[in-house]
Amino acid sequence: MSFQEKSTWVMLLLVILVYGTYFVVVVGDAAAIPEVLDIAYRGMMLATVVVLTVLAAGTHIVLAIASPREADKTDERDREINRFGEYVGGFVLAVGVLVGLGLAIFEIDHFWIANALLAGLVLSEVVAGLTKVVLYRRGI
Amino acid sequence: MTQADLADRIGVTRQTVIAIEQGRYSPSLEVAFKIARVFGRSVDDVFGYPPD
Repeated sequence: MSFQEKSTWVMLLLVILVYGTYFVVVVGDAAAIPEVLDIAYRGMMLATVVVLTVLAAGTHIVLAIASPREADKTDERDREINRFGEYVGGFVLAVGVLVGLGLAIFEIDHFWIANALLAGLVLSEVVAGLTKVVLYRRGI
Repeated sequence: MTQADLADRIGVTRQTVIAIEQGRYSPSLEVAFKIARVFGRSVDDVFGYPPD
């Protein structure tokens, strides 16, 4: 695997694990006690972003140390796969935004608006990542 | 010449060279010309395209 392909796999797994944990914890509980989690979900969201950033940086450092000659090399195939993956993810992101828009228009609690938008973003990243790994294996 | 050597000479990753050889990636015109030039041949000599 090229460095970029490994990086794509790592980010896909990290996003699923870290944000998956966030959604299971926060949204799972929220259905029961939304008021209590009003402040807590913001802190958890921030913590999730920090954890993901740290893990992403750490794993990429490990990847670079493992294959120093290939580290950070990006070629035209990497760019093309990345572009197409992001393009597909964009549709998912648009749906997420529309859902958030709908929630805002109907003045649903901001907890749900914030998490719907975040879910849209996370889902779009997962779809983009999945598209990319399939293209790396099957060809583009 | 190894795949890694060829990759370095034309500015792509070794995995992209493999993908080209296996038909999983069509290189850009620029990269196709670079590959042909490395072997001192024309693009038609190095690449094939199936007939209709």
